[in-house]
Amino acid sequence: MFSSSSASLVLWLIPLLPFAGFVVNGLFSLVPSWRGERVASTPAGRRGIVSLVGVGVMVLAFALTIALAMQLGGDDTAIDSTLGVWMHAGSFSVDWALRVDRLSVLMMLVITGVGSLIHIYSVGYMADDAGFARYFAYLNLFVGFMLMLVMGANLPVLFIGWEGVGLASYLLIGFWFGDTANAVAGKKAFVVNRIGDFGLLLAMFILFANIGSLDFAEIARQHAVLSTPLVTAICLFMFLGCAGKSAQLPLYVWLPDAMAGPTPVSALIHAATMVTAGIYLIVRNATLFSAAPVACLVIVLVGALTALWAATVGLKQLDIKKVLAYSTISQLGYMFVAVGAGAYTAAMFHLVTHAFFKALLFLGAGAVIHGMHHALHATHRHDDAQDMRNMGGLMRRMPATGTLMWIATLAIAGIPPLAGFFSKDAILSAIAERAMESPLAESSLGPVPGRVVLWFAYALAVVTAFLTAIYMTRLMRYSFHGTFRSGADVEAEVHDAPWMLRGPLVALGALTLIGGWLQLPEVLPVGRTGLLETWLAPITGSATTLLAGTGHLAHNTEYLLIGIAVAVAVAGIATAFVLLKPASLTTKDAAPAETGIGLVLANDYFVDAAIERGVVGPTVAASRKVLWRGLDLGLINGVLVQGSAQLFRVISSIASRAQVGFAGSYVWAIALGAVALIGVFTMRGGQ
Amino acid sequence: MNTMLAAIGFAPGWLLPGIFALPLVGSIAVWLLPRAAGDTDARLARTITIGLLSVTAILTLALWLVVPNGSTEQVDYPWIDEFGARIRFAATGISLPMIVLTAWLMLLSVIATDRAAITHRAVSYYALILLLTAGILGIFLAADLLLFYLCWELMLVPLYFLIGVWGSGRGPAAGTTFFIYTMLGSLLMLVAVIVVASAAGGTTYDTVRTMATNQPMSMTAQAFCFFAFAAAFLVKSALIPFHTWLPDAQSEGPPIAAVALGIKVGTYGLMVLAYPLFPSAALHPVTRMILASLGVVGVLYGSLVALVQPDFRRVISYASIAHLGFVVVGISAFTAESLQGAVIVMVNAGITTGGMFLLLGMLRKRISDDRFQSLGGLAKDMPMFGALVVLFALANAGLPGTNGFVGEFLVLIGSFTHFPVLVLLATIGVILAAAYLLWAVQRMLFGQRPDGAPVARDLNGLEAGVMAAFVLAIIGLGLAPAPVLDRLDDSVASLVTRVNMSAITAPPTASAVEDAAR
Repeated sequence: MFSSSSASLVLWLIPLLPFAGFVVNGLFSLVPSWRGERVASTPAGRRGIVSLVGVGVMVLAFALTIALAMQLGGDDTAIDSTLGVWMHAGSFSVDWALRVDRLSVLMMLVITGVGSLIHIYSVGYMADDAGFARYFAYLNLFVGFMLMLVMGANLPVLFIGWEGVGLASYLLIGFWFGDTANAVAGKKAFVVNRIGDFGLLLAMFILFANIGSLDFAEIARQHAVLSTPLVTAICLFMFLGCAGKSAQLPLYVWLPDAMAGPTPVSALIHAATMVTAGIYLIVRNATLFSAAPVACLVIVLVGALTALWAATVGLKQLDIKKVLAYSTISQLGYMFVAVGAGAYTAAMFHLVTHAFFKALLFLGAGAVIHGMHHALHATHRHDDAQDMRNMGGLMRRMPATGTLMWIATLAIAGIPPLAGFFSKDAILSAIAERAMESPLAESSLGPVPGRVVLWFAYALAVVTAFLTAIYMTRLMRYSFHGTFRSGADVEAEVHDAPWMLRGPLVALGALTLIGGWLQLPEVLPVGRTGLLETWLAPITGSATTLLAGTGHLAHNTEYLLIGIAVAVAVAGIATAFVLLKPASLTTKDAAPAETGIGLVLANDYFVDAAIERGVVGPTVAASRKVLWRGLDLGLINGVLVQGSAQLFRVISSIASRAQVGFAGSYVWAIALGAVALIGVFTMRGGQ
Repeated sequence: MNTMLAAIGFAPGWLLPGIFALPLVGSIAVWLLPRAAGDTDARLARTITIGLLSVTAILTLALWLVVPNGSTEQVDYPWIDEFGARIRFAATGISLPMIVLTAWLMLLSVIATDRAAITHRAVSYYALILLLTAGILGIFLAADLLLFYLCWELMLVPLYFLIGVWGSGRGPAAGTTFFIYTMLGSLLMLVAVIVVASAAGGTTYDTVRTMATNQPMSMTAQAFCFFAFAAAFLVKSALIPFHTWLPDAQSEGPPIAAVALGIKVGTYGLMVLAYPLFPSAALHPVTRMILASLGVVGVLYGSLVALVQPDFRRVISYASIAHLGFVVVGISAFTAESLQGAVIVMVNAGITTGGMFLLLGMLRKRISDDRFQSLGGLAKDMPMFGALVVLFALANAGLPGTNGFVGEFLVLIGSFTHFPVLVLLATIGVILAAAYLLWAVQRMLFGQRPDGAPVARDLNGLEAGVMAAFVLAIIGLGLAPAPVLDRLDDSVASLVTRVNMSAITAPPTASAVEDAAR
């Protein structure tokens, strides 16, 4: 389809398009200040240009990505393009190199495809915001970096994207920076991510010191020269980076706070794309990870614990976005369980379907918040537009949004034949399969056999599936069913999403319905089976075999596993309907405080408070009191410097017996130097 | 380009002394300007200064272009025959980036500080700036120890007066502290210079380096001299625990003094003088471990103290102390990768730290009380200023795609094989940098302006223009550092080879050196 030179051009054009959008819209955002205007919203004409640029670059990038994907569907396994040397010193050298293969193109399709929908949605969602141009500039910037992340042919180029998406995330979480809390949330996200980046940096240092290259292709080719402890160390450091970016225990703490950003941002960055970068990194380096079973078991364990942890917290959240945030952390945990177990196809499958249904849920929540906000504004109320206790019965006012969100809810709960059912089942079956028989089951994590770790993870994953169905049904019942709790006057003002918002919702709803056909299991041949597995086989096939072996489950076992998954989902939904009593809810302001376990869960096990009191507070206090006031100002400045200054003054006053001044000590210093000089010469002469 | 320049008469032969002499002579000329009360003399002095610095800056670019990669050009004039001292200038791969950086940084700093900011004794102010520029350029241009030492002192005096006279209320005290520290270091260095000169029988770099290779000094003598040099250089660079003068000097002095202090003459001297002259002492495992540990302590200590500073200028000062730690780690590892990284970090210190101080100077013209407790919400009134602060902060924190990343990454990856544990600790500095910088950014830019604060004006055209040059440098060096790294390649490689070769030839006993000296 492309000649090699035009393919190269297309490769660079794809990330450059959104970067260009960033520059144009970034300049637009400075126009009001440059002209001295102080406006509350962006004029319609300027808004039109900004939207055209912001959405236009996305749609173009999506079109080019589709063309690339078609190219890669044929015989080409990868398209490379090297622009030149980026950094070099001594034996170290890194190129400006992109490499698109079937894995990266899959990510690119999600980024530009779902990204385009969210950009379109944002045109409506952000229309009244004074920072309209700045918003689109940041959003384009994010996409540019995200594309670099998945297209980079070596770790440092990936790292540009990796930290770049963190920057965009920082800017967008703190988008409404007039409220300090939002800015604090943005900062927290960046700093916590940096803890992860520390791990990624160290992984790079060890890799370079031992194999002399940071190219993915070279790493895959040469990893055999590394000793097992070294590979394990590299993989664990890399996983630390993934845990930061993809919000896993214990570095997940930034993601719930990240909900401070505009809701489409939460959909794009904090659900569909950026937070999956950790999964991508591990799949990209599957060959390396498959040589480190210990690291893989650690990943399985952390993923499973995170999935359960976040799901329990999700049970007690009342902010509609917070429920979705913890849900995202939990679903990412599933993906890590999968990559840890070497089920790379299942992980990528769930990554894609999750991007569909979670983006749908977030955008739906955005429509709800948008509707609530307008209604509260119109009635001059200052209640919380995101708290589910202030909602109820929204199905009557927002039937389209409600229906679409129910589709997504059933999908994430795992009800067939929705996308989430297939991808979650793929993960659960894969873990069970590997727990029964695989090289990974034969390895061990310290004294614990791999088999035990895998069964434990499977058990946690099943419990999590049950909890997922509960908290999602809870979200739907609290907001869309029962009676509206904020008063009839407000309810009358709530309207369903306008078409600019509803269009993307419908598209994502359709993807949620049919997404499962990407990777149908052999036991459910309702179409062509195993498409995604075949697509990714050149990249992850051998690594999968290394960890999972070649054995296959008996069909009866597979049916049993599917049965368990569906039964658990149905049970969860039923439990939520039986146990929850939306009728007893009162609005946020009138609601009684949580107590007992509810209080603990609502506050996420008090992790934030513990970090603040146990780590941040003491560090700042010690830095201020001991290092700065004590050592710097007290000892060094107070005693040593002032002491020697005093000494100089005394000496100079004796010498001059006249004015005590600084010039005096200067002369003295020169004189001392001269004495020393003469002294040395004399000594030399004496020999 | 270079042949074209050469064809129209640009040659290192006159460029090297010219770049040094122009600001020096200009300084005297400006000093002699009539000092009538009023505005006109300041205007004239400023115009002349900007004119001279512009020419100097352009000449440094010409020098960069006419000196091919990998070659060293020098010019030589007789000076003091008794000491074997000569006025010798050279341009090497390591000095050229610093020369270009210095000339442009000083020019942009003068332009950025507007005329109205200098209200008293303007003529002296501009004369001192030219003298300072000559001093710093001289340090990088010199190829003779005595000349180097002279320029070293030449830099000291104008800085002292700039901080003391044109600084804030506490400027004089800060100037005094600065003077005591650096004078102490200079004296130590002077003694070492004399020892080396007498052992080598001359002071040109060629003479003393030949001595270091062919007839190395005894281990004891090397250890003493290395210590003296290193002390002078590291005090000047504000390495922990000799660092407290820097935040005072940078935040109490005028912005241009803060910028000049960001030019890392100290670590330059360490790299091109202390290591090649005393290789056995410098590469001794104990020295290495001490220096690298000091560097890592610097990174962590500087970062933690930066966290709790009351204003942004002091945050940036402590950040630069932390960055110096990276440079010292890179130098003590002494690999090609780590040294090239160290030079890039030094260049960045000028660009990012310097640019930040100019930016904060622009803020201070608008809001005199710039402690965090009195700030907040500035991003709304000053979006352009805000965007620049965020960019500079991130460059400072080593965001990939900016200059900051290239330097730190090369230092760390190049030092890892020598000091894996220390590099791991130093990498924690990357986390802390994000914390202290973004916290500072948040307290300055985000939230709401304090009640009753007037609307602050965003940057004007001139200010934005000056900062645009810094932005270009930050992004340019971040995305395409190759031209500078190419320039460093051969010089750094030969430095590494020479020092390693000399270090493995065992130093003679003390008596052998004394025989040689006789």
